[in-house]
Amino acid sequence: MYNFQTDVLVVGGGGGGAMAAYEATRHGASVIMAVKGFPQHCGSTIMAPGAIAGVGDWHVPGDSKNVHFKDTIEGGAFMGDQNLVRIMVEEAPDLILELERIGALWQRESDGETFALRTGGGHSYQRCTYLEDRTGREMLRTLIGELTKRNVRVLPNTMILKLLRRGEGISGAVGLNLETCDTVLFRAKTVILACGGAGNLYLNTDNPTDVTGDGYALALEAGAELMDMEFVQFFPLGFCFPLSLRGALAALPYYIHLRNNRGERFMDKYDPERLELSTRDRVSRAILAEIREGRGGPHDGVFADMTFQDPGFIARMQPALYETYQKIGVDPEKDFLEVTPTCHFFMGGAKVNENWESTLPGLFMVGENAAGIQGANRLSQNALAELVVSGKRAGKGAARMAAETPQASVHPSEAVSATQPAEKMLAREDGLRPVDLRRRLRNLMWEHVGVHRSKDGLETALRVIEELEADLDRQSPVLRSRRFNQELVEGIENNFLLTTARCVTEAAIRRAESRGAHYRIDYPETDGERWLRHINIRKRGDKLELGTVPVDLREIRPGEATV
Amino acid sequence: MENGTVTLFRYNPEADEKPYYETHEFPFEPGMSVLDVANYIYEKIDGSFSFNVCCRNSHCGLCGAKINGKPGLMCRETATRELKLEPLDNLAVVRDLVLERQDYDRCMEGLRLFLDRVSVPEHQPERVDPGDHERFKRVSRCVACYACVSVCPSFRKKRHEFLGPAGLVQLARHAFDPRDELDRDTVAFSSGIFNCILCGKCAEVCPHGISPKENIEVLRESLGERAPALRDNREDGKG
Repeated sequence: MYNFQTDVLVVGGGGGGAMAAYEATRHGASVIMAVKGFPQHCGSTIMAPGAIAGVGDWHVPGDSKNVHFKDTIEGGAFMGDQNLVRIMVEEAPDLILELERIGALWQRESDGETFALRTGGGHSYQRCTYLEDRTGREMLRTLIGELTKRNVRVLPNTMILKLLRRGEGISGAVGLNLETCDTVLFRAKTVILACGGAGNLYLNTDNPTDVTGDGYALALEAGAELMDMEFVQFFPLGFCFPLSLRGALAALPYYIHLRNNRGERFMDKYDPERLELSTRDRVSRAILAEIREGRGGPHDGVFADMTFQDPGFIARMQPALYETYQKIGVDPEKDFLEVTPTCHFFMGGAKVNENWESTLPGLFMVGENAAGIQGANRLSQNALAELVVSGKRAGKGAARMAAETPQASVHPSEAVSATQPAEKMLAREDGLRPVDLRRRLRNLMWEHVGVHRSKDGLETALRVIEELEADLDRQSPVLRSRRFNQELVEGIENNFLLTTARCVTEAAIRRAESRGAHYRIDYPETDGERWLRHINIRKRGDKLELGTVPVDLREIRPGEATV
Repeated sequence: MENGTVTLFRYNPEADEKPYYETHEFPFEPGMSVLDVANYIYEKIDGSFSFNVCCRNSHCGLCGAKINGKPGLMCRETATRELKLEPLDNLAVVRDLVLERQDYDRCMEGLRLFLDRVSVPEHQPERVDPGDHERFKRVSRCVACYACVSVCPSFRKKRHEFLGPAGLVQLARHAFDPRDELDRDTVAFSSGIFNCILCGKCAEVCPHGISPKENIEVLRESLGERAPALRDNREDGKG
């Protein structure tokens, strides 16, 4: 057994975790970061091609933090926590500069000094800094460099299985060293979860393979409250083929016409004014309706038509995608590309306060693990803004709390019991392969808890989730090795995914309206009378307990003129 | 749908005395990726077949392998009907296509891969020469997949005297950062940069179009007057 003691344990190696670790060291705390994979080679941040939203002194005329605030709240269909969103729009610009002070270099105009700015769906102005198409990687490279400089211990291939409680608070965590399957016991005064979303709940996702809801499940099991879990964002244009790329972002709405298998530009039925530039959720629903009614393509998608563009245009505007098209044998100047909606982002997560501390004292949650900023739908480029601001706040909050808190005692037997299920799985003969269980879950969620939802479908999903939960204890990997056993990892992750699946599904049943990314066929309207409320979830025994709390509307309300 | 045939390098040092090859059929479809084939084997044929994967889309750098003899990312390369998959060369094998990445990661630990400077910017954003920025950006595209390391003849011969192309590209990012104040040239020198024979094999295999060789040449040049003298001295010492 490995043993560690630290003021702050950060779980997760993406931008949110790294920012939190960095900030905690600035406030005198000892910090250890546990990363499920290889640092800078895992998680969502390294894939983020977009930009960081934030209105600094360099803003374009007319833009302001207030406009960014309003865009975010309206984009989130008024489900965003206005206190937290205000913090994000106020603090993101300084962090964009801070990242440059410690190593990043954002894109500039030709003078070498003015930030080049991008916009994105839902933003009123160009306000987002970036670097090429790999802003997230630049951010993470910078932060990991800074952690190296500060001699922060980063433990690669360390998967956290369980958080440890003592009394009302937190006392540490138990993990598994995936290089050896040895137990890793952390005594920690505070824990920061930065594990990313749960895209792998769905058949189609653009998330990397290791993003499996770990943070939601760990927090819920430890006793923290989750919120807004029914809000899952789908991007309409993912690849259908090749399979390994299924769900990865395939095209951009403003360069394409969508067609069904009859060649009809079907968006004119669903949103004749905005067509393909309608909101992400509407376009996703339209695509799936076409497929359901038999007008889809051979790979269960519809067709993105780029043939009307001038020769050379697509190659010039999106060189990386153009290269991919060629590799898969699609010439966008002659052929149609088959596309499908894909799971992109989880707006929900733990309910947090201004320090991104969950309802469990000493447990902090950042980035996609926290609810509150993105409401019912996220604007593009707001994920990286949320990530740095929440990381910063949580890092500081955790360090300060640790300074005033003695380490609660931990008995090593807690570690043994936490690793038991993994050991059993390794020893079990003739079980169910984790990859098969995963496939059933992903198909189920796609079918019933995805873009279109209904009471019947959701209840069906819940019944099957129950069956799959029972199957968790039948899992056994073909490979018995204790060295980097990917099947074992998938088996453990299936626990996290199923917990997350249950939360999303139960919350989706409860929310009897349509709002943002949550669409109920049986309740297609937004119900501002009854449902300007968050659904929060706690675990009581083996059951989930759902409640509702009103949304924070301290600055603006639906329908009010502002700014 | 016609079948393809894949020949796999298999090796589990916990069970096998030495590596061996085995052949499987797979449902071939034009345009499918090499990763599709690897996934098919893992999901449908043999769950013990091991390889690394994370992002599926060229960013994480983990799914590198020798594909029909040529290093590449499995997610990025299109499968051929006759396919051969082997681990990248020059790094130890954990199992099948999984490499001991950390053997190489350790080589970079002393490089101080962060912005190292005394000065504090007077105002932000700092002005950066667009040419300098461009150079910085290009090497920053490296995802550390170690394809370049796997084909480097100098690294193969002198791994304890030569950092190798991937590490030098990481170093170049900071050497090219106009704000950085650390003497990166000396680090490049003591990393054995003159052991590079400039064969350019590294540039042929980089999935992100970086030429380690060209950047190594730039780093060498920036050693300027110091370098040839030092190099000559060493050669004299040997002679």
